[in-house]
Amino acid sequence: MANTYQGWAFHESLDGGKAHGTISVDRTGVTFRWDAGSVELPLNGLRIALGGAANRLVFFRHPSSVESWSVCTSDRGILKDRELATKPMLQRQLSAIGSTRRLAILIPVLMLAVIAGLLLLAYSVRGAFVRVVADRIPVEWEEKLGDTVFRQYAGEHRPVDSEEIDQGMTIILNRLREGVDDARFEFQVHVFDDPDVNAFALPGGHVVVNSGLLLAADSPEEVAGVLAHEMAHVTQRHGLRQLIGAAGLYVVVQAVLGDVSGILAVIAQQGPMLAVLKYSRDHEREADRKAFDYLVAADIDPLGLARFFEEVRGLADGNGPLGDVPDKARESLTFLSTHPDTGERVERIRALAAAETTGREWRPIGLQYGRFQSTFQKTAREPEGTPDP
Amino acid sequence: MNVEIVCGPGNAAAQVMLGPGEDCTAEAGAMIAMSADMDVQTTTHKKGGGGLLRAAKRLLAGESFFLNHYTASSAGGHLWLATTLPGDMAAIDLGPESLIVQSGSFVACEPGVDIDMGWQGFKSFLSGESVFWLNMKGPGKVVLSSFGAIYPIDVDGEYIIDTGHIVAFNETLDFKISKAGKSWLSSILGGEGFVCKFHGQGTVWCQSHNATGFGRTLGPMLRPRS
Amino acid sequence: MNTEIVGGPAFAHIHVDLEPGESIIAESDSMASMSADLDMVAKFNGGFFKALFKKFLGGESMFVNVFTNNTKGVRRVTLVQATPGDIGSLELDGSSYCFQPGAYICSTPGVHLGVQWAGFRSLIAREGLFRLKVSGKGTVFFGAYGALKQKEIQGEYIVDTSHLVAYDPGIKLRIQLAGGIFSSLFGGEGLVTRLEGTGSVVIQTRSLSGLVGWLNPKLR
Repeated sequence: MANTYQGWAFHESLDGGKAHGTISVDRTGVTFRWDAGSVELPLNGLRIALGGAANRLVFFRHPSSVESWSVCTSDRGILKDRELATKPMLQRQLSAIGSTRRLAILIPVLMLAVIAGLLLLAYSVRGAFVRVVADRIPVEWEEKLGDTVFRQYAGEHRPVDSEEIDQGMTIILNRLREGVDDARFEFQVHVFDDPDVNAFALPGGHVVVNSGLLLAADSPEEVAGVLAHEMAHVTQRHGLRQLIGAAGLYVVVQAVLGDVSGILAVIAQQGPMLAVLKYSRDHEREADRKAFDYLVAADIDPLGLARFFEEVRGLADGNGPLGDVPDKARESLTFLSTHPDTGERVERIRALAAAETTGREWRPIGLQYGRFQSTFQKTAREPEGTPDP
Repeated sequence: MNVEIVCGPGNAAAQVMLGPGEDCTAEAGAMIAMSADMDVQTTTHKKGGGGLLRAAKRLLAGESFFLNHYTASSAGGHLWLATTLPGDMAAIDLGPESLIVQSGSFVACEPGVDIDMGWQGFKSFLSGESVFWLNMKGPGKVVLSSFGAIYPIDVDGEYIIDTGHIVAFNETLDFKISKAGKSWLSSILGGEGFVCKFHGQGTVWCQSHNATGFGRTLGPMLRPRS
Repeated sequence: MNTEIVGGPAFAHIHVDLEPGESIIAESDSMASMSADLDMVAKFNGGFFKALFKKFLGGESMFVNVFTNNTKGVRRVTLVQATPGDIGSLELDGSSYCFQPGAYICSTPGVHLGVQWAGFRSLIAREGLFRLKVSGKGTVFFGAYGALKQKEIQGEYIVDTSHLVAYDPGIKLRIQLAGGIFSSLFGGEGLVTRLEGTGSVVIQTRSLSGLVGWLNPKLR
């Protein structure tokens, strides 16, 4: 007596398109019996396949004679039925099913391993992702963002209004421009009346320098060094990359795949942070390196930047000449706090200079710094206790 | 057992009418009212076997660890069942076949129906559903619930259901994760992302809304947990 | 095209049966199920810049989906909104109508989706700077959290700000305090919208901010 298996058949002639019944296999074919009739699928030309949810069901079809009939069962024991298993013409299909099932287990395990690997990889190359995303953000967006943040800042601080100062800064800036070969950004330098020794750059090209910093510097090369450093932050889009880096892997991956709306929203929301941003160490190092390159290309002595750092550090320690820096400035050397590891950076700049620029002569910037500073002190706020020049 | 769904689709409840001595198995916490002379037993298994392992598997599939067995007295009895979230309920009469149900949707069934945890493969990660499904093996009646209105779709060939909108489907159907539009770009930009493409012959029960979508709209407005 | 709104007022959804060659435009992620042989294409919601506008300032999505039936038979697509609630439809015949952000679900191809400046007061009322303004010829489907009620107003009417769904463009909106300062703070009403003019207005019986206000103190 042949084995019978519970199963279903599908055909449009059936009530509701399907019927439940029993399946049995004998030497001639696979027979499905239900309460209203029966149908036989001959073994010759029989098609056996896995199907249904999670490939748990076994489907029998015979396209050449009883086409559009499907017979299936969830009882996989049918695959081991003696009549089926011993038919050589069905061997190939049965073994194919066997290997499909083995693969079905192997593939998920492999996939898990691959996914874990990919996640680890993604995490380790986050930096590269951030860069890709930063490149996707158009410069116009950065400029708009920088404009907005700058306007906020300008609204709360007093700009220094002096033609002589403007001219002096223009001389320095024009020399620097010879070395900065990035046409994407239009740099605008603004001087603000603030004894705090600080300078920062906003995405898009606004560079803010405080009167305190200009007073603390000793030569136009030092100011050029600081400006080159800040301009490097702009051309390398550090502000943007910092915001993107903090945004979270999911948003970044989205942006890499094309949907920048998430990352734009994050940037728009965190925009105001840019005014008080503390760049990561890697970014500072990159900015130093780029600044060095810009200065060298503009034929300006790159050690100016190193000297400026030393001076400001000396001021903080109380070791440098104090006569020309108001007392207030010593307490609020924001530049130092946002640019830590000064000692290390001075070393590096000096090492670079020694390695790449020995014996070079530099073209000095055509600005009388002493006079520049004194005109400056005339227009700057008079702090108490400073003798008149 | 006779089931009648009332007050759908917003606040559905199921009225289950049992003949004398008839049984009904329901998930813990689903009962809101019942006849005074109904006998209740709480166990981790269905009458007939299963035990702790099955109970643990049910937990994974989003159901409760415990099951309540309600037995009517010789005078018959009735039982009112409902769920926590507002939504619809559906009563499905299963033949000797399996129904694959999304986790958390099971409410009650006849004692002859076997409940087990199912695994639909890794595509479930992307299907908007939990990775674990429930396999309900008939014959018998099954009561399901969902967040949203439940509507059936008869599939003969192919049909697309958005991820997160599947309540249950016949085991004769299989689904693939696919794109909604002509291209992946359209699918992603159009907000659909992945969809489930069903193929075969059978019925899919869909839900019109999903809790994740509602949560995503509501979430940003809620105060962050400190 | 045959459309049927079922499941209301709690979980309304639209069954759209498209004849061969017909299309329907729907907002992002509104499809719950559809025939596998329908074509779906994502398009910018009114051009790139308008779309950007709408996303950031109008609360709409940047992309809309266009479902087209390129087969020879009738095909169905089921459209829904994310929040539970009712769905209503509006026939436009060259007229226009204004919608709160998020209310739009889908529309027939002849309807144009534009933005309208809603004023800074609207920003204060946390309703966004822009409103969606639909115009043209066709049908628009919109939804809300809660059931929908349509009212005809003549003269003045006051609606709680978060309960307004849609209104005739001829009606002017003003945001004001519900009562005096006291009743505004303690009466729980806060800001309300004063509607002036003649035309129809659609309001919803629940508001998300109401639910949020109820949930937030419970989240500790």
